[in-house]
Amino acid sequence: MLSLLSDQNFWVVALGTMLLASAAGMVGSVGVLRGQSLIGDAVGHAALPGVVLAFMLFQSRNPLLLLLGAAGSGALAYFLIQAGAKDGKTKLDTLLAIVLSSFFGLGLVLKSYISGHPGYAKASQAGLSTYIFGQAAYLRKDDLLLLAVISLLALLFMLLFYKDIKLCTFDPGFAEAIGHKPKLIRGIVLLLNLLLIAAGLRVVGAILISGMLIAPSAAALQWSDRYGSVLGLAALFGAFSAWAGSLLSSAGRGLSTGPSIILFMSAIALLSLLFGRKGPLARRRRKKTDGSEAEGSQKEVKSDV
Amino acid sequence: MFEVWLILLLTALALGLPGLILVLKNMAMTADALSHTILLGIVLAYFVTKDLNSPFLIVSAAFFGLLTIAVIERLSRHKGLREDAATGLVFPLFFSLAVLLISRFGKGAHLDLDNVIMGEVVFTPFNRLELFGLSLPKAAVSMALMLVLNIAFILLFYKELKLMCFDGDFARLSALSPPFLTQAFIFLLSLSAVSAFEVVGAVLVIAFLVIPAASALLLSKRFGRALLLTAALAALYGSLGFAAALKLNVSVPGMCAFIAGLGFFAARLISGNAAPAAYLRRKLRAKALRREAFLFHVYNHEGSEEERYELGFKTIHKHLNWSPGRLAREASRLESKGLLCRDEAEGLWRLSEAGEAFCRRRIAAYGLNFGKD
Repeated sequence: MLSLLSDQNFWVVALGTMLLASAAGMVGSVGVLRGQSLIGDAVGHAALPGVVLAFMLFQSRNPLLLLLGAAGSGALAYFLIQAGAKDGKTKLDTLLAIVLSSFFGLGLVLKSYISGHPGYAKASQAGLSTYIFGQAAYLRKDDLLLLAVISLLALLFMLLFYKDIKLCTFDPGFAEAIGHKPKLIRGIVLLLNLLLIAAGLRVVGAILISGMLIAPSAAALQWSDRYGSVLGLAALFGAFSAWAGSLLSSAGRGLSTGPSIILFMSAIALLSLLFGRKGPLARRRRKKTDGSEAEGSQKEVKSDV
Repeated sequence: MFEVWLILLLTALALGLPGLILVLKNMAMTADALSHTILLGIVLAYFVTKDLNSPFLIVSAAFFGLLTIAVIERLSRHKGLREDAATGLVFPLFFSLAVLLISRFGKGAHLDLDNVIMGEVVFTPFNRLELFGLSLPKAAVSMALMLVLNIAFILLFYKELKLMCFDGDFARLSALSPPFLTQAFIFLLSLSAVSAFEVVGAVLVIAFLVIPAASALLLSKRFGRALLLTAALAALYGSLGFAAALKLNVSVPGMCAFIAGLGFFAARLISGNAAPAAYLRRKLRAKALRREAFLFHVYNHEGSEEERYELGFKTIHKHLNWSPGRLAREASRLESKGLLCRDEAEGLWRLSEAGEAFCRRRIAAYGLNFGKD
C-alpha cells in the first residue's frame, strides 16, 4: 500500500476523484438543506439508460457524449418527478421509487441488448458495466480531464455565487423580494447536480452516486451552523473519503471505487451524527454541565427552509 | 420458459401485494433502502455459516431489514438531519459494505455480485429442489411460499392494516392495532425481498414492490379494490415485460420494471387531471349541467304568469342565454329521452311526468328549494 502513495498514476486518479467528491459535497448541500436528498438517488439511477443509449447512438466511448447522455436522461427523470408530484395524486416518495427503478430497468435492458448484439461487438463496450459500481482505476486521460473541468466549474460557481446560493437556499421568498433570482440559481444548481452525477458515474456508479451528494454535507451540518463552514467541511470530508476510498480500492483485489469511497463518506457522516454538536453525546454532555438548558434551544441551520 | 414465466408471476404477486401497504404508508424509498441493506445481512450470515443454502441467511437478512428501519427512524429523530437524508445515509453505508465484502471474499463462494444485484429470472429454473417426488425450481417454491405468507398476513390483519395505512396515529392511540404489526410487516417484506433477489435483483425489487400498487391507487382509492387491482396489474406488467424481453432477447427484470413504469405513467394520463381524461370529464359534466339547467328552468316557470315568454318556442333560448342552435339540439335530446314535451297549442316547452320526477329528485339531491314543494 505504501508503494501506491508514491505511484504517480494513483495520485492522478485520486486527485480527480477528490476534486469530484469535494464539488459534489458542496453542491449536494443545497439538496440536503432543502430536503431533496433522495432526488439525487433517483437521478443517479436514471442516468444509466442515457449512458448506454449515447453509446448505442454514436458507437463511441467518447466521455463527453456519454456524459451528455447521462445528464440528459437524468434531466428527463427529474422533470418527470417534478411534473408527477405537482398535482399531489402520487406522493413524491413513491414517484422517486417508480422513476428510479423503471429508468434503471431500461438501462439494464439496453445494456443486455448491446451485449448480445453483434452490431456493437466492434465498438469496445468494455467499461460500460463499470457505470453500475464505478471503477476509478479504469479512468483514462480524457475521462479525468472532463471530470476535472466539471468539478472545477461547480467549485467556481459555489465560490463566486456563495452569497446568492446561501440566500436562495435559506429564504427564497426574501431573496426574490430583494431582486435575486432564486429560480435561476436553483436551475444552475440542478444543472451542476446533473453534470456531477453524470461525471461521477464512472467513479462511484449509478447505485451509490447519491451518497456522494448527501453524506459529506450531512456530516458537515453536524459541526457547524454557518453555511460557509458547512461547505468547507463538506468539501474536506468529500475529498478525504475520495482519497481513502481510491487507496482502498487500488490496494485491494477487485474492490470497486464506488463502494469504497461511499463507505468512508457514510462512516464519517454517522460518526458526525453521533459525536457532532447536535448529536446525543453532545447533548448529554451539555446537560451535565448546564442542567438548566432546555432541550432543543439550540439554533438549527435547517429550521427555516 | 413456462417455468420462468411462472416464477416471474409468483414474484410479481408476492412483492406487489405488500407494496400497496408501502405506498399507502409513504414508505417507498424506505423500502428501496431496505432492499439494498438486507444484502449485508446475507453476506454476514454467509461468513458465519459458509453455506449459501442455509435458511439462516434469509433470517439474518430479515433481521437487517428491521435494523435498517430502526436506524432510519432513530436518525430521523436526530436534530441535525432530515428523514430523507437519513434514508440516503443508511443504505449507502450498509450496501457499500456488503458490496465490498462480496467482491473481496465472495469470489470462491458462488456469491456472485452481478447475480445478486441484477438477478436474472431466466437462470432460476436451473436451481432445482425435490419436493413430494417432483423436481421443482427452488425459486418457484420459495416465491410461492412468500406469496402464501403475504396473502395470509394481509387477510389475517386486514382491518388492522387498513387502519394503519389510512390513519396511523388513530391506530396507535386507540390501541386497535396489535403491537409489532409494523415490525411483522417489515420482517415479512424483507423475507419477500430477499427471496426475490435471484429472480429480479436487489435494485429492481423496488419496481415490483411499488409500481403495481401506485398504478392501482390511481384507479381506485378503496383498500380492497386497490389490492385486487394491484394483483392484476402486477401480473399484467410481469407478463408483458416477460413477453417483450423474450422477443428482444434482453434482461427480463429490467424490461418488467420499464414496462411497469410506462404503465404507471399511462395510468396517470387516463386518471387524474392530465389532458385526455380531464377533457372527457369536463365534456360530460358540461352536458349534465346543460340538461339540468334546461329542465330546472322549465320546472321553475311552468304554470307561472310569465311562462309564455320564459318557455316559448321562440323566446326560451334568450332566457337560457343559449344560441337557437344549441337550444334545438338540447331540446331534441331531452325530448327523445322523454323528459320534455312540446305543448303545440300554447307554443311552450313543458316537462313530461318523467321530467318532473327527474327535477324533483335532483332538487332533493342537491338540497335546493325553488319555491315549489
